[in-house]
Amino acid sequence: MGRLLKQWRNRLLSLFRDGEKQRELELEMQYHLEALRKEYIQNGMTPERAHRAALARFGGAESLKEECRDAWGTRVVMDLIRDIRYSMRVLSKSRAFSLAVIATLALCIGGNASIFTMLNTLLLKPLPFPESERIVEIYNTYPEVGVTKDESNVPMYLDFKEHVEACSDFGLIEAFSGNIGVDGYVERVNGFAVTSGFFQVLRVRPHIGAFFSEENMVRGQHRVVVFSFNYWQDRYASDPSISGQTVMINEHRFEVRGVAPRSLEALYPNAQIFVAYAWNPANVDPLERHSNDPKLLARLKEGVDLSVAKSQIDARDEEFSKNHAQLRGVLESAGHETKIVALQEERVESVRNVLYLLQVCGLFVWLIGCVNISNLALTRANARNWEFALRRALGGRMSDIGRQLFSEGLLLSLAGAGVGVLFGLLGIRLINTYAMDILPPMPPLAFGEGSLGFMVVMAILTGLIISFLPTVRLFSRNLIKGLSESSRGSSTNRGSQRISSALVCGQLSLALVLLVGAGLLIHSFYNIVTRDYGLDATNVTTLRIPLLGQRYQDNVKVVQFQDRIREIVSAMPGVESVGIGRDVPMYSDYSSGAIQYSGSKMDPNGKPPLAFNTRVSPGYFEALGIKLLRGEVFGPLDVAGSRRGVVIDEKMADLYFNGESPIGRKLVNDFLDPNEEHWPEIIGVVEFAQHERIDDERGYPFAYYSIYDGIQRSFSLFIRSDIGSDLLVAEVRKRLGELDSKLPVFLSGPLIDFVDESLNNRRVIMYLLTIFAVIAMLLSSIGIYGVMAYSVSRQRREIGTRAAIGATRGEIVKLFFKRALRKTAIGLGLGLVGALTLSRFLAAMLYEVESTDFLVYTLITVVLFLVSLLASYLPAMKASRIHPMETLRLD
Amino acid sequence: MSKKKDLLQGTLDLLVLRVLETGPRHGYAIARRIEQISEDVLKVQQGSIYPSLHRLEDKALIESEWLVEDGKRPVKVYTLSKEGKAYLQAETESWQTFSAAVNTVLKNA
Repeated sequence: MGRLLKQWRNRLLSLFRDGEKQRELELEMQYHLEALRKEYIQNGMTPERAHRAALARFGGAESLKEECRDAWGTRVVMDLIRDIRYSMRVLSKSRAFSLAVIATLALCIGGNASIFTMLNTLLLKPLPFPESERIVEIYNTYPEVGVTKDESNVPMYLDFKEHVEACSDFGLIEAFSGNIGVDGYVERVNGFAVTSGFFQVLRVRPHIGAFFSEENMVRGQHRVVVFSFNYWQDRYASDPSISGQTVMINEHRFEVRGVAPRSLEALYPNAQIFVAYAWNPANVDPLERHSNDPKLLARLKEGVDLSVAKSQIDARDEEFSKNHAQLRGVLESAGHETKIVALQEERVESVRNVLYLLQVCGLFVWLIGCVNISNLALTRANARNWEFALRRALGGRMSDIGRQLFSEGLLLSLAGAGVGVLFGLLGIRLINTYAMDILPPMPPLAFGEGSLGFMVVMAILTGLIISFLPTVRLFSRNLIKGLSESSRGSSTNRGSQRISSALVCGQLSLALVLLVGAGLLIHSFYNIVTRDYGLDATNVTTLRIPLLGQRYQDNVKVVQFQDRIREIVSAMPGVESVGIGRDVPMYSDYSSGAIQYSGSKMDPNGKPPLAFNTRVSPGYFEALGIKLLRGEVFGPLDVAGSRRGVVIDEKMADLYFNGESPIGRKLVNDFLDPNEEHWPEIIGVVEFAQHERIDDERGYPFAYYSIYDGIQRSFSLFIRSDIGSDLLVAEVRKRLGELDSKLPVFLSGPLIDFVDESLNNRRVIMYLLTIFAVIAMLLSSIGIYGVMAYSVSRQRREIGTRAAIGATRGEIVKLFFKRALRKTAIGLGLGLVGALTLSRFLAAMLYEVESTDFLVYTLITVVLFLVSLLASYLPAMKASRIHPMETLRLD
Repeated sequence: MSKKKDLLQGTLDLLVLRVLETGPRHGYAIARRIEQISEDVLKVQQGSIYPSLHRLEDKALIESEWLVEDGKRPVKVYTLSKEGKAYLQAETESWQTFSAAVNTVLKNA
């Protein structure tokens, strides 16, 4: 017998005889003292003196007893190690069981960990700035005209900075992109224009050099730039002497002030440069207070509540409204309100629900996995009846056996979590690759201590859950009786059969809820991709050109360039048509707002008419396959500037001109200019075409203004051609180079890719939910199979008897099918109730599908029903093959 | 628990094992034997061998048995287990290496 085994036996025994051990210790010591006393008496001491001397020689008996008990105390830890060792041996014997459990748990825990990493990084962790909860964003809203979030502007910034005392710092930030000259070639860089207060709001310090100062906020002194940490590292090889150098941005000389710290990446991971946000102080028109472009950030003073700031802001709005009575009515009817919210809240607003939804679905799958494992463990616990009974008979305590079950459970779940780290890392990688588009800007996710902690907690929970039922079963029956039972007995297992059946029902209902969720999303997705969105994006190639720098300072040059490039490209072989547009369909944020047209009125609720708009050139409608319905589209007249035309879509024609011909009427996307003389004239009506995100509602009507009516320095080409996009882009680039070698080209490629990308958001969520649902379905069908197969194997004798007294195979199959059917029906019934209750939370993500969609519910129920029948078919067939001789077999 | 105490305990454990190597004994006999063979240099309070004994028993290095003889008080007798023997041998070797090393340093440094 090895030492460990001996030790194990010793401890097992000593566990049950704590009191006895105490008494023994007492006896042992008494014996010793007695011996000492005798020794002293023999040496001639009086009994009293001998007694005292013996006590002195022996030492403090009480404290020694304590120490002895401590020595047994190490038992607790040792017991655990022993349990684990034993568990490992048990588990390694049933390798298939262990591997199945570990694989299931690895998948469930790992998957949940990767979702949690995303959730934690975005929602739970604060931004990496000092007291980041005090950073707020202030913006205009015009809810009555459909604008629930706009940006802000310079007059607001100046006004609030002076009068809103609840905040200590203010900063404006607006996207900026430009062409930067590096070593003779031109590169497109993206970043932000920010005011000097911006860095102060975030309380960041420059990594190198300095940030902007107040004087840089004035036009003429604004040519200063701060590099982002990344850009400085990549392009300037972390050059420590960067500040003070000059670079060319949009052909102007800019002085490099310094390098921003790495922490800014948390909010602006893709920013390469920061330039000064400057304006001309003399030209700040308070009326511009509602021309919104930059974001306004601020920092709340310590101890000041958001509501205080809000009331100060409201007071300023009231003041403005009083002084500008001409705007009052318009602003009121638009429902204008300036909002102030915590930046972090605002940032994650759009994804909060989605992330929680994913996590909940992930936890559902995990729960199903746990149920499966519980079932398996219950079956195993039954099979191990004999082992437990024997241990009990040998004097093992119930708690000891229970602890053994728990340590097995924990061991399995920890192993599962361990392997799950791999799945977690994979998941994080997938999120970093595919889900970044749908998340607010942030640096790539990393597996951190938060994720690790989550996995540990999940592993422990899993361990407790999967060992709970076997342990309960263990305590709920007479183990010793198990010894006398045949290994195929069935009566004592009725209870566990019932639990198993209940678990299977629960599993099926969870799976149904998930499948319905996925089904609804898939149905929505199908509706979106098969909708007629009015644009024919196939065979259209697009590329964007920014005309920046001194060469194009003159407006005429811009128009000439646009004309020239259209001419050149349309002359290229294989090109059917080419047009220019201000925005890129499915990619750009189209501007929208209140409009006026000849005879337009506010609606009964006092709301002005609304429309989306863009600016396009001749050839645009042909290139994008938008059909003309009435009148004409843009032509040479518009290019030459001899008329100011506007083309509207059928939606607008129907909505605002109720049946009358809109051609010849006037229209303007401005609700302030009352002079109809200044407005463009409607020259044509085209069919409806979705330009905003493809899954948007067929919302507002659309107006196309001429790109030559005003100057558009950054624009996209749309080329309809059978030639491959890559070839076409390369060719256009070459021709462009002949016109101007310094022009960068971006946002290029097949237009269909942009359409496709605009769906990434939905696609990611749909895929994830579908994966969850399929795993859930597989797990629960395995669960059903397991329970059925087990019950068949437990009831061999019963089946044998039935066969012996004349039951046909068909009847036996039917019997088992009927049982499976009942479980399935109950499970699916509960699931349907759950799905009907929970799918409401998906409503925001559905597209032209009700959350009670009949088709999806029916289809999913039928599929799950069939899967569950299939899972019970095999065990039922097995049952039917049991020979009547089984009855006679004795165990 | 202090380092020093740990060291003392470890040493005492080793001495107890060594004494038991010569045959089964009860606690009093073990204490006496340790005093004798160390020529009274190691004067520990006799009782302190009990935590040591219980620890060793817990580690299954020694085994115990209650011996009941007619007319006498029952006495608990400890025996070195097979594992204990192996352990003692390994520990003695490492102790000797260690003390030799310390001696060398003390002499030559």
